[in-house]
Amino acid sequence: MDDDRTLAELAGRPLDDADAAMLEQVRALYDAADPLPEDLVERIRFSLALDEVFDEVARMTRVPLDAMGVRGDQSTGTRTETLTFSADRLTAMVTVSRVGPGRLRLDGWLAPPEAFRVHLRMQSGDDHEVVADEQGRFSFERLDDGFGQLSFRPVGDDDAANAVVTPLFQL
Amino acid sequence: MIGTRPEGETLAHRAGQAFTAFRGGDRAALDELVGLLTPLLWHTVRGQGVDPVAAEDVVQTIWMRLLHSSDSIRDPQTVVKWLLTAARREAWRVSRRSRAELVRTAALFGQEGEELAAVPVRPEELPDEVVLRDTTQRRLWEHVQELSDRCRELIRVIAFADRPDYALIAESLGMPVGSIGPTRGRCLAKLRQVLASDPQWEGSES
Repeated sequence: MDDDRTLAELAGRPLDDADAAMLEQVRALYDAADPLPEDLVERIRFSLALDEVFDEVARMTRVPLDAMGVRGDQSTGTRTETLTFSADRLTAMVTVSRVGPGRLRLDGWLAPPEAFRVHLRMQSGDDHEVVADEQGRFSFERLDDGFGQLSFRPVGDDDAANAVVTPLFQL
Repeated sequence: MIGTRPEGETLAHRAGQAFTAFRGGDRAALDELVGLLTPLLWHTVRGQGVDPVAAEDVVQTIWMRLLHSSDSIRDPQTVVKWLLTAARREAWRVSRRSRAELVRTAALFGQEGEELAAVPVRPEELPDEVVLRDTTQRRLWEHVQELSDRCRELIRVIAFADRPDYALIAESLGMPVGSIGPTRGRCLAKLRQVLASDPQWEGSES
């Protein structure tokens, strides 16, 4: 009871230097315990430096590596990772596989299966573009390691504002 | 640094200026804004229990949404609140809904999708096991863990802002600290009380 009254009283007073000192220590604590990932700010800046207008940001969900192990051919060192992207306009499932040293391929599947132009923008500066087939499938081959961002744009739709973009993800 | 800048030079104020400049066509101001506020967003999202990999995705997604919606934010001074609110909402969604979303997505892709849906639910992340610098930091960690989830979340985020921003951040996180003046609020009061009653705590004597 006493404690509660003291707490309420303490809570109602203005912030002072002791609070500031305490918060400094909390900040140092979290800088040590759970620091901001070193290159996150740079990656965010890259993902925002899009030239194109877009209508929607797809939500990205990572599927744990081990879950898709059945499809990765471990004997040849193939690594398989699956991501899903969901937006109001479309959903995409993307698998990244290692096909050789420093070489990757990306296979994707779009629903609904409409003609979309798929653009892959790599942080390294490379750009790739393909058109999904009538089943909604698309792939990029011979990719380098790094971070990339996809965008999807309906073929024949000149309104650039209809694009869906994804966050940057690691290939 | 908390409380070392004159009023008007707070994080929220600098963020508002950068956002105004960006909307006026200064592209570099967006990079500045990202540098200023990403730490706050990171700690907001991690404070909600989102794992580190997903937290990176959430923070990035929120920035992309800001880029998309920047014209619809009427008052540039509210950009901090907009971002924190969006980050908190998305973190909540991700930590509770990602499983359902995976199943729904999987259903769209037939047999291959069923493999996705068969993914076992990941167990709750254990509390971070961290190697801390010294005993003082370890004791502070323990005391912070004893706070309520809401208080821990608030204190973690305000530690990365400036003192005058405290009320705005608390409000953005859904925990207003009272309308009259920049009062300390119960969460900070609680931590002070806990530290004061720890005979081994030498971190701050008030």
